[in-house]
Amino acid sequence: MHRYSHLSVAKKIRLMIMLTTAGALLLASAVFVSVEVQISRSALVERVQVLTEIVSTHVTAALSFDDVQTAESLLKSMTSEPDILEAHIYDRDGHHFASYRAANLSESYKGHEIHEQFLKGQAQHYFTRHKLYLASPIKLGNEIIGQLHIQVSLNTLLKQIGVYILGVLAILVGVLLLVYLLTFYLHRRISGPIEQLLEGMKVVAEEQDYSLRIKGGDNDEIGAIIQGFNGMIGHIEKRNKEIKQKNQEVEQHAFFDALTELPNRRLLMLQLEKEVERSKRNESTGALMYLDLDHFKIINDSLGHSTGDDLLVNVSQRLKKLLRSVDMPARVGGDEFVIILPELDQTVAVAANNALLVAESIRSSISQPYEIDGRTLHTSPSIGITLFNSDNCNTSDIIKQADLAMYQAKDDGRNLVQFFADDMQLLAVQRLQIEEDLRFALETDLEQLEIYFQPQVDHAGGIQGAEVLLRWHHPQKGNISPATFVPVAETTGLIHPLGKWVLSEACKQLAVWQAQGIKLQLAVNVSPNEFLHADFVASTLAIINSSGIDPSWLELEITEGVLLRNIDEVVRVMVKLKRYGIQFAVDDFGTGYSSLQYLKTLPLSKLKIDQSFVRDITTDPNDAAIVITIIAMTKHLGLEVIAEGVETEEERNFLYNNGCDLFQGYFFSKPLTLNAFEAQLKTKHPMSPADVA
Amino acid sequence: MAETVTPEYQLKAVLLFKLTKFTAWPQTENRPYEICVYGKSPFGAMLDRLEQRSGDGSVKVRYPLKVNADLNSCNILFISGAASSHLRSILLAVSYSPVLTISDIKSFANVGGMIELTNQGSHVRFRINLSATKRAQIQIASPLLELATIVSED
Repeated sequence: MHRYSHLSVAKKIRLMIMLTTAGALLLASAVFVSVEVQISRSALVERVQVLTEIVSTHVTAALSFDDVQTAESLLKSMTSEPDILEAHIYDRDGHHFASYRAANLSESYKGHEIHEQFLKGQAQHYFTRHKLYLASPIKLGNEIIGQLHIQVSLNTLLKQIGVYILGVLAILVGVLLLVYLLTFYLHRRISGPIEQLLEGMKVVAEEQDYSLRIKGGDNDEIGAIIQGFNGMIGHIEKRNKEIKQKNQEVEQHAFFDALTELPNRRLLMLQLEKEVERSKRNESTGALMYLDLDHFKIINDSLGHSTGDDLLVNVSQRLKKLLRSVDMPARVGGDEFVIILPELDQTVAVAANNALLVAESIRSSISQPYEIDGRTLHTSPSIGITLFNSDNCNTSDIIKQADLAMYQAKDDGRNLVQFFADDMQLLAVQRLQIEEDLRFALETDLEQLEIYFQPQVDHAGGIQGAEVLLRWHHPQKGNISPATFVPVAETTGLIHPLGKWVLSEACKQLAVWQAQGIKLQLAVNVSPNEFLHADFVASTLAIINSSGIDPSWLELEITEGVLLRNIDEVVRVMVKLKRYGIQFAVDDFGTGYSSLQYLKTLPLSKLKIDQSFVRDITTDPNDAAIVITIIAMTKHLGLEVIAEGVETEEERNFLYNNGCDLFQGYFFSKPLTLNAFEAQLKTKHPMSPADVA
Repeated sequence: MAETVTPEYQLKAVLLFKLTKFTAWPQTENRPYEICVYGKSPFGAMLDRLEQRSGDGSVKVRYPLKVNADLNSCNILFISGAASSHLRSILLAVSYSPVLTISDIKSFANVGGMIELTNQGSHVRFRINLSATKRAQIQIASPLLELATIVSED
């Protein structure tokens, strides 16, 4: 029973059906067999009785007239019934009169016992296991004149019944087989759907997949269960969807502003935390903007809330349009918006500048007129900005700073962008200003720009060449250092026109000197961005060609850093230009990480030892050792070596003693205007016309 | 009459009585059966005793018959050997009536008699002339025929 309870429903049903069927069939078979036995027996009895009656009638005369011979010959008619073993006739006094024995019968006569049993009665019979005993009176009219006793073998009957039982068993087995097959059909029709249902329920329970529906099922109870189940999970699915939708709505309310559909303060704070973390990780700087609409209260009060709301929606639409996808604008109050600008730049100054640019574009966009309800409205924003990075990473501080900056902007007269910190403001504004002024200078007032020459001398102080340096004379701000404006030019792309201008100026001058027969090497700095620009080779060659110089006196100085960016491209560009005779020097050598392997592959002619090493060679043994090594290396590579930033005689001597070829620095000369340089040339150029003269 | 009857005729007397059981006459209402003996009876008192023993009066024995007696009322007519000389006239006399004629006269069945009793050891055998019985509309039961020898008339 324990094992039975572990069977599946299908197996239980199958087992039950099989057992029931087998039981019923066995019972039916038993009934059939016993009925068959009864019928066969009665049929036998009847048949034998008919025969005995006939024989009885026929032997009446023989018995009456005591004719044994005739009686026995009459009895012989019983051979027609081969199962009859013996027949005996007794007269009315019970004396044996005549007998019959089947031909093949052995001697086992029990006639007298039978005789005793039957003598009194009417026609009687009884069965033993193997025989039927039957007695029939012999009547003459109404008078019983004797008895006929017969023994019948049951062999034929038993054989017949045996065959019958075999037949019944065969049918039983056949039916069982059929039922067994039928159970599979039933299984498919009944247990199959149940198992399907079970499987489905398991899947639903495990995977929570309420979109599942169970197929199958007839128009019966199981079909109804399956339909019910499907209906139930359908209901659950629908309910889940509703709950999900409700949750979304709740979330929408929790994190988004219903009017503008922008994120609200809560979502903003969450996002700000994430962005602050990210900027700390990436060492980048982002910005937070606090934006307030000027005079919004007046619009709201005078034109009604719905107009105010429409205005807010319009403002938020403009904000979305202007911003990058990574930026997040949020509405944090009636007419207050906060915008996160994540990861503006690694450099604070650039980030500040970018933030300012974005703020300015927002300011100008928001200040454009609005068409609402057929009315033209004007508003403007006051924008406060603060920057966040690893130095400024407390979110509530950041919000406060931006808010304060925004109030500052309002105090300063509205429709303004204001940084929280002055230095930030300055940085941002300055860069913006530098860019504008530099562009102006390049495009319209080249007078502001001038190239200077710093002499490069040999050990004897003879001028071998000069490094070309750019000077910017700002009409209001005076001289602006390259350290200030070159990075701006680099980020804004102004470096390309600037570089071209410097190169062409240098070439022009070189052409002049070459025409005068003055042999001087001019070194022009090329920034990495310039050098790797697709246009660089073509524009450089164009400048050289138009100036008509001998390019072998032109030296392009590239920083060590450029070698690290794309060595293959660098080599390609160098090889191209080298073909025209242009020389190359590596500037600031020793500050980068260039390997000898690189240096060997480059068509260089000169290395320039960075002034940071030169400054300390007399005091710092490490730097001295580095410089000695660099010089030794250049010798080994067959390159010229020049030291820059040489400011004392000790430095010059040290460098000279260690094999340095050329020197540049304040010890010899500061960068000079063209006129001053030419004046120097006259005295110090070894091959100058002045010398010759 | 205290004469002794031979076992043969004792048996034949019983036989006459038993024959009524195997014979069907056309007029069944003609009861009791009459067993008549023509000629000198060889049965002695045997027949009377049997008549008494049957007890129910179903059989009546008539003998000795007078010369002018009506033989047509007999059911069974036993013709004794003593009357063999005028056998033909006796048979003629009953030839239109359903009278079962029996005798142990030799060749009785061959000359128109119906049942001839013959001796075989201690047993009595029958010879039956079926055409004679048919003519007299008498039916002999088949079990009896099983025992008998069927005889055709000469």
